[in-house]
Amino acid sequence: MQQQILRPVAEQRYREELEALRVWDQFNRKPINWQLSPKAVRMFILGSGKPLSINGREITIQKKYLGNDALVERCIITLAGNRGLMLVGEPGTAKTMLSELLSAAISGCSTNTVQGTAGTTEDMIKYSFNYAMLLANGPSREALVPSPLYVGMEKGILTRFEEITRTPAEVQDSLISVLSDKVMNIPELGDSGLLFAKPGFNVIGTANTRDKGVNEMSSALKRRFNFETVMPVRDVKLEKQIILNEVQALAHASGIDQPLDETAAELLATTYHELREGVSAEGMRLEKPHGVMSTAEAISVYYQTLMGAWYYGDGTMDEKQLVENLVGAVAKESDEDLAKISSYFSTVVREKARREGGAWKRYYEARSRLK
Amino acid sequence: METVLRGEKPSEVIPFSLEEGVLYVPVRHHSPACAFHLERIIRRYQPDIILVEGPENACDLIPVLTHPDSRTPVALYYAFRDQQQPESEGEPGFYRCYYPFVDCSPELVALRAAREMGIPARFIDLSYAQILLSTYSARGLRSREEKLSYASDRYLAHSRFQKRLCEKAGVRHFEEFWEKYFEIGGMTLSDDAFFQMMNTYCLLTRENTPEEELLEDGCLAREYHMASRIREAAGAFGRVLVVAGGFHIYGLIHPRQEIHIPPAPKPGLQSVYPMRYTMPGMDALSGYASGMPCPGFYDRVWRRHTEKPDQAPWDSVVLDLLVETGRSLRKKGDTLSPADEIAAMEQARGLAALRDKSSPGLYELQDGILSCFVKGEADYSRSLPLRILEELTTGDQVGQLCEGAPVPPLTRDFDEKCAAFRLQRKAGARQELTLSIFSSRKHRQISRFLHQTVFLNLGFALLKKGPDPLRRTDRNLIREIWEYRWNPGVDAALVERSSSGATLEEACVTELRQLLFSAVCSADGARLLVSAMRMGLGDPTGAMGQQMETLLIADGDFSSLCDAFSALDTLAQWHEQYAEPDAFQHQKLMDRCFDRIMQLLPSMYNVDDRNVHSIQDACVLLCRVTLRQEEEGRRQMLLNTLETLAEHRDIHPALHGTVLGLLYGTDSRWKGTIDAAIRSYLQGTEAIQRKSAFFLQGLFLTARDLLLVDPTFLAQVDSLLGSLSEEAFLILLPELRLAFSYFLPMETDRIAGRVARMHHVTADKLRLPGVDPAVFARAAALDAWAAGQLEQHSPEGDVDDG
Repeated sequence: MQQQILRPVAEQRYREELEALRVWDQFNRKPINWQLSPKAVRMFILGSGKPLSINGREITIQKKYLGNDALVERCIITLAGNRGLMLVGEPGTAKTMLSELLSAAISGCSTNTVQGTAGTTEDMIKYSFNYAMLLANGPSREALVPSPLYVGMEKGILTRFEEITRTPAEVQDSLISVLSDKVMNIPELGDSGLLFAKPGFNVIGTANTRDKGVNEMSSALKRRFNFETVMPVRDVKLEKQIILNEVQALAHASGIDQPLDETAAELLATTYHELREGVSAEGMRLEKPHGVMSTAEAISVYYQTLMGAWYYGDGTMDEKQLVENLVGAVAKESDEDLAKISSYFSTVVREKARREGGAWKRYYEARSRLK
Repeated sequence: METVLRGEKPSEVIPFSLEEGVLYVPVRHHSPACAFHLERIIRRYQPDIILVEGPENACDLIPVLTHPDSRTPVALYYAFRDQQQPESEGEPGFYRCYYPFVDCSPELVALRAAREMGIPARFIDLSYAQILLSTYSARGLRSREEKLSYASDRYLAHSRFQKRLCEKAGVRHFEEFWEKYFEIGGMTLSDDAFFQMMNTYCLLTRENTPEEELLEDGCLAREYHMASRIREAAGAFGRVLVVAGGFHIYGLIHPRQEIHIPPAPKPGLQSVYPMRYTMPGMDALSGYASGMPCPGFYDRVWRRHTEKPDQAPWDSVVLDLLVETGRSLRKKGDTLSPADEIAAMEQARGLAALRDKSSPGLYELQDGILSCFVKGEADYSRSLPLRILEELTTGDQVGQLCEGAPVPPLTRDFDEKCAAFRLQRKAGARQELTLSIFSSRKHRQISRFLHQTVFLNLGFALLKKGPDPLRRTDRNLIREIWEYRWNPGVDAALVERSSSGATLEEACVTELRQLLFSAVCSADGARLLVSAMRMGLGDPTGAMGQQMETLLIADGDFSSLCDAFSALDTLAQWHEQYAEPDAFQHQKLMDRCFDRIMQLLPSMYNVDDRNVHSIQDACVLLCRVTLRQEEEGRRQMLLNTLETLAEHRDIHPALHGTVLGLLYGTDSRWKGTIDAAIRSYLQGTEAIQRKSAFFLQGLFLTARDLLLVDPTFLAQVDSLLGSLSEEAFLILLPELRLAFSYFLPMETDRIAGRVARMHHVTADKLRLPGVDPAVFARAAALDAWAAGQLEQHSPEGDVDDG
């Protein structure tokens, strides 16, 4: 079947799992308007371990978020309460993925999303009007164009607000009264101009803290959110697994039918991990690059290398291509970063090549591509 | 053992029945749930004797622990000096460990119950010394931890089995697992069900621990001994209740035979004392998994339970701590509202429900605070709410011992000395004391005593003012001014140090010798000798002097050797004032040290810019020391070496200047060489010219009078500087400024005046009037504009990484 959508949303990708969970979950207590109980949401994101036996079929719920289980639990409980959830952290730590999975599991819809930019205005957050209808019929509910926030309140589902700190602070503040009173005032509609939020409504925001071009949130808005800090993965093995899982999904979606090279994932996971932490496994101190050394970046380097091998080569990845793509990913901010990678190769990678040989040796030999 | 267990139910392997003559009760140290069930089981079982796992050389102290006037946290402090193991083996020859108790420690609950019921209670484990003797090197209680706890949970909490178990149960770590199933869950179970669950868990843990490990850790020997004590008690009493770590119960019922138990050591080699303890101290011990973490939290749970035994304590303790954290935050200026506290409590309760716990516990409390109190990005180590919570859950109580509790000899010695010197032993207020250390023998003795307390870190006294021979400051002072104040920490520190000796001098000698034997460089060693001199310790056996010599021979670091030389010189100069005849054979040590320095000095010519200052300082120090009359021999040797150094072609210019300056200081004939050197620097190629400022800096460090007393030298420097191009001069300027900073303002003034006269300018022309504020503002604006332009156009401008 020809795939029609580049990246299906979470509720489509995991339709089968969600349906199985709904059956499994039928006797558990759910907050009003939640599609699944908190326990089932937890299982959807953190996996079931054993397969669930549903209507004679065995369905295993995959673990989709690797890292901090307690964080996921706190997120779920926050969303069941009356405060919004704000996921903060460095770029590339899977905040958006977590927000999407939570919305898909709780509301069955992950697309009710405000995509925050520097150009986001208040009417994109609350509502605007279809001006032709407004002029023809005057202000009415039909002429009103609802925002994702409006839809969330009206239907009692979650509204996602991506990159909230990229929007100007005064625009962010339009959320304050909505989040505390759970009501939106639409003066244009006269007496019927009050939208009361239905149970099940809440907001998941994501915010980058270390990126350029972000605005500080006001304290008033901060008070209406519970903050959860998503940390970069601190375990090399886990990072390697995340790289493999994500690339597998991307490759599958693009029809690339090539078994993945675990060694390459390990090289990348180790490189990214050590440069991010500023210290190698052997204890050598390293200069940290200015650019973001996130797992998401490592995934893209791996995927790029895989595609190169698939379309131009015989499908097997080699370390030279890996290094070339690494250069493209790292040297975004300044040439200095490239020098830091070079010195990483001439010290740490060299030492690993000497000690372990094999892939590390080939990786070290490919250092001439660091230009 | 696996074969024993296979196919058998845990309750068959370890029966738990109140009908038996011996009832084994498995516990975990400081666990409120264990204490809760144990208390009830004792009442139901009505034993005739209670046996508790604990080194039996502390049996006499049980009345002190259970005395109504003793308040927890208290600890038993064990010490043992192993004479069969000499210090040179690297491992310490003596050992110490703590066995702390809080109100919710099941062991203490059992001992107190025995007192109430009027039945005997005993510790049944091997004595501390025997445990150590049956432990392999660097294992168990012999491992090299700073503070060791007798009550270790290592087996219970740290194995691969536990890791898998936590993964399966969906909890973060063993402590959370324990709290969920045993503390929160356990309190709702019946006593029998609870202890059977404990036995099952401990049996599985035991099955997953290799037997060799148990043998090496001395665990099997201990169990064998405890089992024999239990048999003895069972013969003499009708009903015996045994309280022991859950892990050992299997070993008590099925002890391994043919185990060698080392004989008890000679009396005097091991000691045990009760001491008051602190909650932070308890928490520090939990680092080695000795009982539960966050003792303050579980202590509150236990207290709440004793106040209201019919209510589950968890929910209200969590709420109390949330509110206290909030109050504390508000006091520190945080704008946390009651709404945040409500949200945090809801979060904690919601998480408990999601995690299938009947009430929120410590981890839900932490999660609630993290979610609702921390605004913005959480930095786990620096977030104030989490730090406050940590303090609260650790607790700050300090224990108390009843009157008449035994004290170690060191404490007695301290008390006696305080009395002899009329120092106020129990005064809470600060006392001040002025001591004429060089004229009064008694004052010198008091000073030595106070220096000893400082060295042992007792937290008793503080030297406010006085000569510091080591840092070479305040050497003109002849009095020491001390401030001292007794506080509970002093007692605790004294008990801790009591394993080092019976008197303060002995303890200081022991610790100083240890430090000296573990010192890595000669400078550290020599500094220790100076402290020993101030403490009046002496070196009757010569062992310290010998060790110092070994350090000097092994040290290859020039700076360290120079520091050591300086410290040894201090000994030489001060030992008479401090009434220390022949302090550590300092003359011999100085000779050795000087020889080493002379060997290394010639190779210092090519030192880099970063380290040159320390070498310069070292040269100055050496000259200063050898300037004295009695050092004639050494001075000649030093001058010869300096000459060799100065002749080196590639010598660092700053060092070159310093060395020539020093040589000039002893013989003015070196003036010619200096003139030639300065000419060669200033008239050399561009790169060499740049080095001239370094040279001048070095020269002025040691011979700045050249410029003041010798008009020809001044003229020469002036003409050479005048011959530089402006560009070259600007490059030299920063180092030149440093070079001239060695002159006093008055001297700079004099030099400037002379130079002015040389150029026929009157001195008053040199003084510029103050800068007009308007001119200054314009210049500042221009400067800012230029900096902005430079940044904009610079190809390598710093990229702001926001």
